[in-house]
Order: sequence, then structure tokens, then C-alpha cells
Amino acid sequence: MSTRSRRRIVALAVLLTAMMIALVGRTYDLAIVRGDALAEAAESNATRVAPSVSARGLIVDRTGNPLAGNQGALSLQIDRDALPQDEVEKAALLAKVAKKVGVTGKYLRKSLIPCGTENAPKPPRCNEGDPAFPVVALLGVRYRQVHRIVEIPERFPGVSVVEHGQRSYPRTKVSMGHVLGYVGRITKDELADDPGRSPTALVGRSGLEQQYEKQLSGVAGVRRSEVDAFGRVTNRDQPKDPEIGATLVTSIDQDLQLAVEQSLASKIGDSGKAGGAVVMDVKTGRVLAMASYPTYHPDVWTNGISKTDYRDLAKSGALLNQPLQGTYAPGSTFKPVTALAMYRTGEGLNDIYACPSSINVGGHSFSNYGGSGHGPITLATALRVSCNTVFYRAAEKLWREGGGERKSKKEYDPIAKAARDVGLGRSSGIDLPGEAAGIIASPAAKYALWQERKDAWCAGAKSGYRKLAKTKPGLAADFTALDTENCNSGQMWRQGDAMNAGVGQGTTAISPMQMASAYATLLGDGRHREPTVGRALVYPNGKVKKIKAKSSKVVVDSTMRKFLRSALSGVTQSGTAAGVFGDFPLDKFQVMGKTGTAQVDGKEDTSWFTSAAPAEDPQYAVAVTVARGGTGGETSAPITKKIYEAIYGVGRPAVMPADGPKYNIPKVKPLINPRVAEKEKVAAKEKAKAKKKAKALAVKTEAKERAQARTSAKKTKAKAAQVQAKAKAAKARAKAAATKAKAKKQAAKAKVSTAQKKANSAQAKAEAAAAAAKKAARAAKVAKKQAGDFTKDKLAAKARQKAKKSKAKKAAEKTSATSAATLPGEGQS
Amino acid sequence: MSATTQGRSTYRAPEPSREPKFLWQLDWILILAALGLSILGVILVWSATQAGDDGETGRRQAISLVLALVLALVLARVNPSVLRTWAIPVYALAVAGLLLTFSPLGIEVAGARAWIALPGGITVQPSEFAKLALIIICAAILSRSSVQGRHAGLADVGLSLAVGLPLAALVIVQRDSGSAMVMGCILAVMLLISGASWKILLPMGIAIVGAVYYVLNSDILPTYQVARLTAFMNPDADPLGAGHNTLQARIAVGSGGLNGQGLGEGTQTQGGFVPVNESDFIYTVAVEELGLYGGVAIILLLSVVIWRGLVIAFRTQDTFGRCVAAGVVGWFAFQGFESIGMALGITPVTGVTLPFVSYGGTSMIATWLGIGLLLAIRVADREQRRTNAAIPDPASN
Repeated sequence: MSTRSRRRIVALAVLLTAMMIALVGRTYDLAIVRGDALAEAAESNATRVAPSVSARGLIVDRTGNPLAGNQGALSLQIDRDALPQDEVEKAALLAKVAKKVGVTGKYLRKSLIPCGTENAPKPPRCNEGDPAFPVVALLGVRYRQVHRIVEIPERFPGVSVVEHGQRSYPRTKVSMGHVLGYVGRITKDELADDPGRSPTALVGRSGLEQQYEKQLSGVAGVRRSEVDAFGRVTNRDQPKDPEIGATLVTSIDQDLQLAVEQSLASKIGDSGKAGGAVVMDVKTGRVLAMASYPTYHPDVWTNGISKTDYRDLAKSGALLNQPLQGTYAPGSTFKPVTALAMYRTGEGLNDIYACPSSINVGGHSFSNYGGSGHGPITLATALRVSCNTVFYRAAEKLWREGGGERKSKKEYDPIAKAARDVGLGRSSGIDLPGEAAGIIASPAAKYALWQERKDAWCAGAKSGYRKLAKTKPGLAADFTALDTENCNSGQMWRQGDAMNAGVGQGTTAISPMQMASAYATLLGDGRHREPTVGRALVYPNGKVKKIKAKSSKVVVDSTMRKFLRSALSGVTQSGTAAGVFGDFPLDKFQVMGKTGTAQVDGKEDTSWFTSAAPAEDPQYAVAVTVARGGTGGETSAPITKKIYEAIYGVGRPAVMPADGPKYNIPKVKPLINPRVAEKEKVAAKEKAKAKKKAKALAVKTEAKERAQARTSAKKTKAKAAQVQAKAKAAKARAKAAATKAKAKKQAAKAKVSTAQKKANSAQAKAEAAAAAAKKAARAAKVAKKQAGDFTKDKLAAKARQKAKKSKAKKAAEKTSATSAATLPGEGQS
Repeated sequence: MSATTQGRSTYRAPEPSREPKFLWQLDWILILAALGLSILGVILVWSATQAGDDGETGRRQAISLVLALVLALVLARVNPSVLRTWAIPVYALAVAGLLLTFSPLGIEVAGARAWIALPGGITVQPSEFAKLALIIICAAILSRSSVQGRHAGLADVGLSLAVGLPLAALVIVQRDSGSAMVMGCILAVMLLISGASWKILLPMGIAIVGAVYYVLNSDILPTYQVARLTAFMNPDADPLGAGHNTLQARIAVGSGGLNGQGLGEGTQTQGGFVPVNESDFIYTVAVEELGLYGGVAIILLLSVVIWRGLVIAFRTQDTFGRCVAAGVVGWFAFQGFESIGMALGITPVTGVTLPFVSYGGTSMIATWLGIGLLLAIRVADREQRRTNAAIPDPASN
């Protein structure tokens, strides 16, 4: 009747089979073939990685006093996604919040805009962070301003107050902004480059903070947690705690630093001039103090700087780090370098040189400062009285010997060579960013300058300054002539260039840091050392990594050093700085120095005083410069004297130890993560407790166990003996039965069976004994476990148990052997 | 199998007869396969929900299973000819139930107003029972002509569509398009097996497919429905929108591997990334936590149920019984395929349960009543065969 239906049922079966096979195939495809990729997706679905910021390492001074530390502060954080959707409502909320913290609503709104997008304010006002994270809108708010937000958060959707770490500067008097540098919040790009860092990490932006960023910042911790579809945490992994940054021990002495800063400040005051001072350890090249004036306190950066504050700071010149970035013509302080070049080229150190008031070369007059002559004098005297003409002549002679007027891309110039040898006109290699290399006037330097500027010069020569010519035809003609000259032969190393270079004038420009290291080389042991500020990194685990200062081979021989020490001692005793050092106890602390007064076109002279002390075994090198400061004697020398007074304690307590700075690493208390510390403390306590408990328990259980083992062993032995005896009896009986069996088979059979039975029972008994022994052993084991893990005890117990077990086994074996021996009786029957 | 029967053979049929005992006549392969699916389902439902309710949902599912089993065995004892007389009252009840969902008693869950609340905190999904009603009434209609020894004619086909489509329409209005689709499949399978001529079925099928195509491409359906229906084809295009569920389901299946992550260990399941994974997406739990083995076990057990259903449909000489069996098979097969398929991203996400496995008392009872129908048909057919063998009837065949 229904073959049609049945056919269709078969067809349906085929279709449904295909469907089911498709399901299996697809499951296989997803779960196995594409399983890895999808499982990965599942994992990233369900895990969130939250980096936690590590505490930044401290920066401490020579003796361990903190220069930069950490402190907690409150900041206003805004989560754009959680703010009211309605624009009017949002603006009202932000205005309300802004009023509390003393800014405008517009300010807050603008701070939400990511940097680089349309309408974004300039950094740091715009949001430099990752747009996916809440914005830190305002740093350093006070609790009393924001307590309502903390207390009634539901009234401030999207706004929260969070605690963040920030840099603190315990020594408020010392303004080492340039040396320490500052930190800023990590930017989006930096975070993208190094995703392991916390999005709230602070990053060193200048100074030591930048130089030692890697070591100071430590390693961010990570907390991985599993979350469900709603972002709720379902399972937390053991978090990896952040590793705290290393503490940077510097060679800066905070008291000396303060003295240097005060010396600069008291002399320059608010005259509008700028100056820098460096105190260096001659023997190691380590920087003991470096100050810049005008300056600022590093605190200005802490909560972000306002636009106007920044403008004022930039205008005042405080942002320039004078010791490293302030390069000036060194003037007469360069003369010892020229003297070194003279000595190296065979000039006699004790020869007599003529010191006329001026010399005429090529139609130009080169004269002494102040225009007075000194007649024939020694080279030492020439340095002492700072006679220019002696060094002009010497430089001119070297120029002639070098080939006279020439253009050269190559450096051949004894004076420039000497300057470089002692570290001038090249970057000193100091462990601070942003150093200016300076320049030494030389044929190569001039050629390089011409190459750089010739296009502008030639263009100027061509144009003839037409505009200027209408009003000031004379000046225009002068400019045109100068440009024409420079365009045509600006690369020529002329007589005048060489002579100016010989007295530290012309294009030569040197930073105080370079000058200090040069004098340390000239007056110390003749080796140039790279100045260093960082001395060591002390890691939280107590590991100390010393920061080495590199030094060159001897570049100034001992004769020259001796000569310079004596000549430059004369400067403070009876030379250009004698007036300043008149009341300084030079008999106790012989300061060797050299004044410098560098002429600057159209500006006041640059005042220099570079020095080292004491003469018999130089320890400190001090370089001071004041731009537009007048002569070296009137400005820089007095500052230097004050610095030495502080160092040696003249008329005030000494800031440095009498036998010079020591370089053993001060005991730095490493920063500890309070959470880790707490954990460790608790763990240690518990460990001690557990140990004590375990010990007590172990003693008890050991005694118990021994007793138990003894008794159980006895019992086993006794039982085994019993069993043996019974088995023997059974054997005997079996034998008897066997002999009788010949006669009475039936009876024997029965007897044998009883013997067998008995033997069996003997075996069973032996087995029971073994089980009892085992039981005892197991009980002992359990007791042991409770007692805790004492390997020794455990091993001993194990050995004992083994012995017991083997004994029991032996006993059992014996009995079974004997009982087995009885069985052959059956065969006999 | 026989051990089980022996263990229970103390049961006495109320009417002592010369025939083998009632329990001997049951299809135990079918029962064990369905039971296997149901027990696996209880475990998976428990795993998917235990984190939130401490196993309460799992317990409730187990209770539903016991109740469903009893009801199925009771139904198995009902003769199909009696069942046939119930067709109209059952149909009326189903329509009433569906209409009740629009009354204040109705509850909306996940966008579908498919439940009614009964006193005592019990909720019922009438569309599940409507499937049973559909099967019974259409089987009654389609077997009318068999009395005259003919296959279902145009009038029968037309009438079954006329009673079936209103049910589907009501379900669609509830926004439960998945159940409507299953009803369509049930109807199609029943029409096919009824033996109706291709001359009737083919033009009608073309017309229906054309109509569905037209509806999908016009704006008659709400956009959410079109989005859900089409999202499975490319879930990555809109991972947080309509494709989200599909994508998360795929991820769950993919992270199962061969052996699965273990019960209660699947991150997608336990993290609630796959929505309604105790019900519609239960298959993702099976594969994520029990691996490929778990998934294949479900498909195999379901296949066994379908195979036994087809065998019953094939063997029975009663057209009504065959139509009922075909309807039940079509129901289990297509609803199972749809539910597993949507977890695998090969069928639209329409929110249908996986028969026997998914959470839901109504679904559990309704599917086991389906098993009861199959058993009743088998028992009646065996009885019929014995009678036929005893009294040779020249009229038949």
C-alpha cells in the first residue's frame, strides 16, 4: 500500500544522515582543525592583563641623602565612557567638578581630547595617554577639594579621584632641576613600544631621570585575571609583583651643591646674568656639584606646568643647563692649553718671552687686556699675569709652522689637539643627556663652519643688503664686504684666527663641565676622565652595580703638570686673582686658578675662573662661568673662592671631609613594596611557627613511634615464632601421617588434609601478622605526615618501616615455605 | 538492555493477556538513546549554570526528566486510534495556549513572548506542545484517505496546511521564529511521508520557498529578525552586534579540542560569553567542556533516536502512525540540526532548543511525549501484526 511512503522514508533517512554528518564535520573543523586559533581567542576573551606600576628608584647623593623620592598624591581621573551621554549634562558635571578643583569646565573638557586630534590643546594639556584608559585630567588635587567626589561617587559619574605616585624632592633648598631632570606620564607611543609598562608609569624626561630611566623605573608587575562576559573577575592569577627600581647613588654632595648654588646666586643675584659652576673630583672625574643660575626647583614639573609658568621659565633662561649647555669662549682660561701646545712643540717652559702691550700682525693690533705690557717674562709669569701677547705670538708661530694661511678639512693644529686631549670642544661623555659639545677654533672647524654658512654668505654678498642700503648705506656696504670676504675665503685659516684661538677667543666655545675636566686633567694626574654623576645603582635585592668613570692615557706629562701647578698657584698668590684670594688661607689650601675674560661682540665679557686645589695633591677642580659677568677676577673668582671656603670650611663649617670625598657606597635602604614586605613578614612568622610546632610534634611522635615500632616488632616476631612452631608441628604430623599412609590410605588422606588445613591456617596467621606489621607502619607514616616534613626523620622512618616490612615478609615467607613443604605429603599418599 | 527489562519485569500490565508484556514491546534502543541524551543534557545544564545558582537549574532539569519519562511511558500505552480522536481537542488546547501568551499571563524572555506563567512559579512554553498538536492533527488529516487505500490528496494537504500554518503564524507573532521554522519542517516531512503526489507537493514547495524568499527580502519582518537570520553567514562582520553570539559560540566550540576542557572548566561557558548556553547554545557547552567526543556523542545519540523513529515509521502499517512517527522524526531531526548548527555557525540563530539536552521543562516533557508517541505506534503496530498473523485477513494488502 505504501511503498511510496517507504521510499520516501529511505530518502529522508539519507538526507538526515547527510545533515548529521555535516554537523560532525563542522564540529571537527571548529574544535580540531581551527581549534588552536579559536582557543586563543577564548583565552584573550577571558583574560585581562593589568600591569601595576613599580615604585621608582630613589636618587640619592654621595652620602645617601635622598635627592628625589616618591610620594602619594591624588589626581582627578575622568572616564569618558562613563560620563553622561547628554552633552548639556556632561558640561554641567564637568563645570561642577572644575569649580571644586579651581579650574574651568573648559579646561577639563579640553584635557579629555587626545593629543594630535582636531581641536586638541598643546601637550601637556591634551591627553597624552592611551585613549582607551581613563584620562588623568588634573594631578595633585587636594583631598578637601575632591572629598565629595570620593564620598558620593554616584553624583559624579565618570569622575573619580585616584591615588598616584609622584616624585618628591625632600631637599627643598637644593634646586637640582637640571641634574635630576623630571618625570612625565608615559605616552601612548611609549606604551605601544613597551606594552609591559603600566599605563600610569612615570618616565624620565631629562637629566638623571632620563639617563637612568631603565634602572630607576624597575619592572612593572602584572596581574592576569580571568573575567566573564560582563568583565567581572572570576579568577585571579597569583600577581607578579612589580620590581622596584634601583636607587641611583650619585656623586653629588648635597651640602656642597647647596653651597655652590648659593655662591652663584649671591654673586649674580637678580642682575639678569646667567652662570654655571662645576665642582669635580680631580682624582676620579666624579661630579660633586653642578649648579646653574638662574635655576628652578624640580617641583615645578610635578603636577604638570602651566603655559605661563613655562613661558616665564623659558624666558628667564633657567631652562638652560649652564654647566653642560652653556658654551662660551673661554678667554684666558684657555691659556694653559696653549702653553701645553707650546711645550709639546718644543718651547721652553722656563724661557723668557716678550710681553709687549700689543703686537701688530697683518695690519691688525692684538693687545693685552687693559693694554699694559710686562716686558720680558717667563711663561709662568705670562700665565700669572695673563699676558695675551705671549700667547698671540706663540699661536702665530704655530700657525706659521703649520703652513700659514690654509684651508684644511683635516685637523692639524697643536693647540686644537691639546684642547681635545684635555677634553675641550668635544662631548665629555658625562652620564647626562643634552650636553653641548662646544667647539675649538681650528682650520677644520673653520672649514666646517664655512661649508655650513657659505650659501648664506654668498647670497648676502650678492644681494648687497639693498633694503639696509637705503637707510644706512655705510653699514650695508660693510656687511656686503664681510659677506663677500666670507663667501670667497671664509674657509681660510688665517693668522688672526690662529692668534685668537691661542687666547681662547674667536669661535672657541667651551662648557664649564669641559673646563673643569680639562683643569682636572692639566693639574691632576694628566689623564682625562669622563665626568660622571651616577656612582652606583643599588638594587632592591642589595646588589650594587658601580658606574665606572672612563679615563684616558696620560696626555699631560709630569713636567708640564708641575709647571702648571706652580704657575697657576701664582695666579691666586700674586696674579690676576690675588686680590680676590687675598683673605683666603692659601698657605693651608693652595688654590691654583686662572681667570678668563672672554670678549663677546656687542655684549659684556664672559667671566671665567677655572681652578683646582690643593696644589700639592689636587683634589677638587672648580669651573665657574658667568655670561656677561665682566672680568674673571671680579665675578667668577669670588664665586670660586666661596666654593672653596665651603669645601674647606673657611669662616664656616666645611661641607667636605678634610681628606677628600670617599667613595664607598652609602648604605641605601632599599625601597620595599609594602605589600610584598607584609607578605614576607607574615610568611616568615608562619614559617617560624610551623617550624616550632613541627619540631615539638616531631620529638613527640618520634618517641611514640619508636615505642610502637618496638612493640609491633616484638609482636610480629612472637607471632612468627608461633606460626613457625605450629607449622613444624603440622609438618611432623604430616610426616607421621605419610608413613602411616602406606597402611591406611584413607586415614592418611584425611590426616594429610588436616595437615594441609593446619598449614593453611598457619599461612593465614603469618599473613595476618604481616598485615598487622604493615598497619603499624602505615600508622607510623600517618603520624609522621602530621609531624611535618623533616626529611631526616622521614628517611629514618622509611628505613625503619622497610626493615619492619622485610622482617614481616621474611616471616611470612618462612611460614609459607614450611607449609608448602608439608604439601608433598599428598603426593606420597 | 535485556538486563534492564528483566529488572523491571515485575511490572504487571493491568490487562493480563496472552501477548508479551508491555515493557517487552517498547523500543529500548530508542529509550536508552533519548535517556542518554537527557542525562548528558542534565549534566551540561548543570555545568553551564552551577556557577550562578549552585546547581539549582541542574536539579530542576533532572526532575523534569523524571516527570517526562513517566509521561512518555503513560503515553506509550495509549492506542494510536484513541490518540487520533484527541486530535481536535489537543489542537484547540495548543491554539488556546499560544493565545494565552498574549494575555497578561504571558512572559517575554529574550525578546520572545513565548511563555505563560502558571501558579506556583511554573512557566510553560506552549509552542513546544503546539508541535505535538501539529503532528497529531496533521497525521489525522493526512491519513484520512488511507481508509480508501489512497494517499493523501490535495484536499488533505490543503487542510493540513490550513490547520498547521495558523499555529506557525501564532508562533511567529510571539517572535519565536525558530519554532515556526521547525513547525514548517515537521509539516514538510509529514507531507512527504504521507505519500502525497509530487504533483501536489512540488508546486506547493516552490510557492512556499518563493514566499519565504520574498518575506526575507522585503521589510515585512522586523530588522532584528533579518539580522539574526543572516548574521550566521558572516559573524566577523559585526562582532559586537548580531554576529556576537555566533562568534562567541564558535570560539567556545573551537576551544574544546578533542577532549574538552573538562566539566565546569570551559572559560567561554563559565564566563558566560555564550548567551543562553544552558538552552539554545547547549551544544557549545558540550564541545567546549567535553570536546569533540562530547559533541559527536550528542550527534550520534540524536541520530540513534532519529533512526529508531524512522524504523518505526517504516515498519508501521498504519498511515496515521507513520505520519505521526514521521512528524516526530522531522521535529527531532530539524530542531536538533538547527540548534547544533547555530552553535556551529552554519544555521541562523533562531533560538531553538536541542531536543532532550537543552534546559527547559516544557521542552523536555514535549520531546519525551514525542518519544511516547513513537513507542505507542510501535506497540500498536506489533499488536496489529500479531492479530494479522492470527487471523489471516484477505482484505488487507
